[in-house]
Amino acid sequence: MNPKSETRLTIQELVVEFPGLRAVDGVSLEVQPGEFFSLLGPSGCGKTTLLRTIAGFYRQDHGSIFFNDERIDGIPAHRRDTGMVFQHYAIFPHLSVAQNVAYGLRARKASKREKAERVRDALALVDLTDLAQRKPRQLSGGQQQRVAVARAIVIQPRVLLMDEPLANLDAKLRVRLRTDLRELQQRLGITTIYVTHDQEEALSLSDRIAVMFDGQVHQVGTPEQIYMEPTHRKVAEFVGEGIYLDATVVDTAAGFATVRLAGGPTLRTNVRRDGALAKGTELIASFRPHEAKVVRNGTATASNLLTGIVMHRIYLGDVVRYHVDLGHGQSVVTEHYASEAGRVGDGETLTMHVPEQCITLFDADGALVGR
Amino acid sequence: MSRLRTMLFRLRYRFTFWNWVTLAAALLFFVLLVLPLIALVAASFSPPRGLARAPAEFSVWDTYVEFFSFRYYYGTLINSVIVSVLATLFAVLIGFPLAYLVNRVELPGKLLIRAAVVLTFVSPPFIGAYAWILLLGRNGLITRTLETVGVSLPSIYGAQGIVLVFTLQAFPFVFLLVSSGLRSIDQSLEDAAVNLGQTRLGALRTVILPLMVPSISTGALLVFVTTFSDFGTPMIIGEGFRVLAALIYSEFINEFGGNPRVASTLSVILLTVTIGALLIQRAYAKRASYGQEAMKSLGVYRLSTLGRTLAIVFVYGIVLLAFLPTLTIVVSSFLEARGPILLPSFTLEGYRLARRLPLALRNTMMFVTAATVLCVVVGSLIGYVVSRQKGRLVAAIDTMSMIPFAVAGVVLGVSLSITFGGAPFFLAGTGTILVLAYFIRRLPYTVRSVSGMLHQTGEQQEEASINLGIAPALTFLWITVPQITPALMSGALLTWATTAREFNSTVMLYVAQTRTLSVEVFTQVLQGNFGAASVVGTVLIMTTVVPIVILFRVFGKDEEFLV
Repeated sequence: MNPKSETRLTIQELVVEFPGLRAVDGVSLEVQPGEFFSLLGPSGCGKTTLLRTIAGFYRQDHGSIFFNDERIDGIPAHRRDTGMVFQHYAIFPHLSVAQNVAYGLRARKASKREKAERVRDALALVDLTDLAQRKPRQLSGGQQQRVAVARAIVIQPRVLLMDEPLANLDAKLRVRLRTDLRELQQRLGITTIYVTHDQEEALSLSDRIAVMFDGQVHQVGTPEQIYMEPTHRKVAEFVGEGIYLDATVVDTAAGFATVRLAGGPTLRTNVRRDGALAKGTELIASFRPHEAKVVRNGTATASNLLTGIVMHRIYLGDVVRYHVDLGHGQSVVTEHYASEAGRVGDGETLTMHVPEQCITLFDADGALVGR
Repeated sequence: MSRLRTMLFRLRYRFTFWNWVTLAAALLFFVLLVLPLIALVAASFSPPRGLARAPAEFSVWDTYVEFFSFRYYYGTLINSVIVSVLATLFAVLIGFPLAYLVNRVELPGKLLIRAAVVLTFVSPPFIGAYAWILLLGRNGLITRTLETVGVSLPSIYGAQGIVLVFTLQAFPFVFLLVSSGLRSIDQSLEDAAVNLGQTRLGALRTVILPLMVPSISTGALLVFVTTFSDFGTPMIIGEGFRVLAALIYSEFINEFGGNPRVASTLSVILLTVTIGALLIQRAYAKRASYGQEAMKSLGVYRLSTLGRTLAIVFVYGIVLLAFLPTLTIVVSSFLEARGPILLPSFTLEGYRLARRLPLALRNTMMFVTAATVLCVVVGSLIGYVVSRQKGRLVAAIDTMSMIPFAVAGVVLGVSLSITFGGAPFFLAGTGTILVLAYFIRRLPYTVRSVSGMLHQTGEQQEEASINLGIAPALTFLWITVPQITPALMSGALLTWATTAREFNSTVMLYVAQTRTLSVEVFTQVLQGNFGAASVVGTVLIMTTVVPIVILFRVFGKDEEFLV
């Protein structure tokens, strides 16, 4: 089962407005043929609206959408040739599994035999061959989800659109189906837009991710780029946990800056935008909870140390979490492998080292200034 | 050139299937509903018939001034208000306790009680009036029986008879609405009141009753509007007690062929009162509504032996009273008849001799089936538009689809006759105009039930179908229709049953060849052929009861579905 053509999706300056709301506010994207591309963001950020606009359920107020060189944003939804997997699957309750999958072929010219073959192939792809004659209400959530996928790919759409297809499944199934989805997409090589608010899902599935807030795309990049090099504090906050501390620039050198936190400790960091960092600039120093290393007695690291009082020590089996009060109104929650965490109890003093390459600096507006 | 192409592109893609349906629906409501009402108002302002040009002293308000100057006219308005208000009051006083007892108290034979109420509800409107004459009229069964023991009853004729018949015929409105309202109250509310020191009766008064205001007032409104615009009953049992709706009928017959300016004026006045009542009730119920839903509905409890006995006497007394007319009609249809006198010997002669029955039955079947099919097809399309499409036109359709709820049958009859009776349609005296009347009157119910159903199902499945490349019209046929079919079928049965007994607009629009069962009963009663009336009446009762029985048995509906 091969997609008809390799489709590149191009979105230019797209704006979609609802009364009193700009759901999509000037989005431009280019998705490569065969790419698994995720739209990641909190609920209400416009990702689903964007997806539905690509499918033709909403009409944009401005901007354009292309499949390769063909402008498709004026074509009605039923002629766009996109295969969509809906959040609640939208399985037709009065049709059997096989009839559901065959449904989209009704509008397509092919011999009866060819259609039957395609349905069989699609069902086999999602491992539903045995359930072909079942009615949807006899299926589990995971099975319904697979029917929805089979139904969308059997028409060999130019673009596969998925709207949080795993959101309604329990946690374990969700993780397992992730792998299945990714495998299927790789096998078919079909350009895929995947909407999710689950950062882990987006990171584990995607070739590239667009992170959206308030109708705008804040960052587009590979999962590594999104996680390791967030271009904005909002992105960092949304993709994984983080620690954000008020800091003031006390020294700058080529490619480096030293910032002081409230109460004295200083952190040396990499800097990307030199010019922006004058002495005395107030900004935010950030790192991920697992990036701080516990300093044992006698370890000789002189710089980038944070010291505080442990308020709570939380043992989670493989990891240990410390809630640490740094004084001066700042506190952090850090995470360490149990083997490296030591046994610092509540009320005792804990010292941690934060490697300079792990620290990210954001300016007061949240824009990235150093990493 | 490129401009032209853009335009063609728009025409092709903007004017989709549903845009056309929306346009057609708006047009339909406008032509069949708005236009006739405009024509009605216009006719009421027009100069007297026969005069091509208005006389010098003519004013558009002439007929209205006339109405409020002559007791002959305005007296009917007062009379109508009196009987309707009284009937509404009594219907609430009977309907509420009955619903409360049946729903909350352990009583024997609840199914029977419910069945009797439903039967009363679906039985043709004026049949009660005629049945009560058979029982309590001058030659009535009960009257004569009591006379032999020297007791004489007050007369059944006039206002008191109208109020009696109206009350017994319309209290099911209150019963049904209160029953469904009670189901939306959570048991915990009553428990809380009792826990805080109220008795059950106290909880009823302080908690349940206030929460029932919207249900009760809706029921009351329906009673008021129905009785205010009904004229079959007053004409049969009123004997000189003249009501507004009956006056419309007689003026309309008088003015037939000419310019029905008086009938139109009266219709506008009747319409004003019913719409006014509707608006007042809306505003009132809105303030008293808390939009609650019950997790666990109010439960059933046991009364003391005395209380239970009293409750049984009350409930079965009412049920018997309400059911008596239907029983009377059916039984009397098998009695030997000589004019208005029924003899106590059983026979099937009535059915054998009913020469006019076959035509009336055939007409009813034909018109009602046609109207029902139209309702289902058009109603499901418009219901879809109302629930799925957006825009000003859709909002207008939604508003227009509310109008028939407020327009009485008499008024609709007059307006349709004015608009489509003559040139260029010439529908007067055709079956078509009756079908149109039934269709437009019941259409809103289908639209409501379809759009309500679609609101529940959500549109993802339709979107999935569209996304898979199936055009909107086919998506509707393949995906939407199968899902609303059960609702459509049960809606169709209800439409059938309700339309089969329609009288008030039918009588304005029928001619001899298009007479229906309900008109036939009425004519026979007025001519004093009580035996023949009972025969046709029994057939009519069957045509309305059978679909209701199917609805309940096959579709598993209960009486809540009727309101």
